[in-house]
Amino acid sequence: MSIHLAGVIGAALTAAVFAALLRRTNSEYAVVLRTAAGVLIVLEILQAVLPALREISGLLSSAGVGGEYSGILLRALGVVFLTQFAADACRDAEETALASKVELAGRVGILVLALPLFARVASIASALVKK
Amino acid sequence: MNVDLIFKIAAIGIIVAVLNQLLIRSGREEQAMMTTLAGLIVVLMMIIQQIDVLFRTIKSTFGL
Repeated sequence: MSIHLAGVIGAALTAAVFAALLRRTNSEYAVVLRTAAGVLIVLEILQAVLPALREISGLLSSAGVGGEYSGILLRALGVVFLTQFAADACRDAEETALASKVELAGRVGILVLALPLFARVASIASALVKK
Repeated sequence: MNVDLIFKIAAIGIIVAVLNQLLIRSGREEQAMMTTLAGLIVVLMMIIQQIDVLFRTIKSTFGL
């Protein structure tokens, strides 16, 4: 299933025009409208990317990379999607400080996800040094 | 793809803007404020459902 590109472009342009219309009178509706368009477009992207993700995890497992590692990779990708979406929504509402806080939260989340891998690399390195 | 949501939100925004202008012109600022608030709550309830769908999809896709 390919991505529904015309739908994405149409939704983005429609939302942009209506947001520009609503910005003059009541700007809070423009913020909600942009967030709604963002949700729709990210949902469309996710539906298109689902088969690709399945293919990639199949390739990784056939290449001998453990399911644990690809799971961590996919989870980090999910955290990135979510935090990018939320940070963009905040930045659209001209709340740059909130956007950077959300990005910081995403970075901390990915760091926590990846820490077991760091621990394993460190243990392998120390075992090599001892030899 | 559910583009109707964008049209719905834009329509509610335009209707609320018109009502706002009418109520302010007739000297009822409090009711204009209430109308804006009510419209905003309706729009937020609509968008919250979509955000819920997005979160569920991301959770199931990436195994969070």
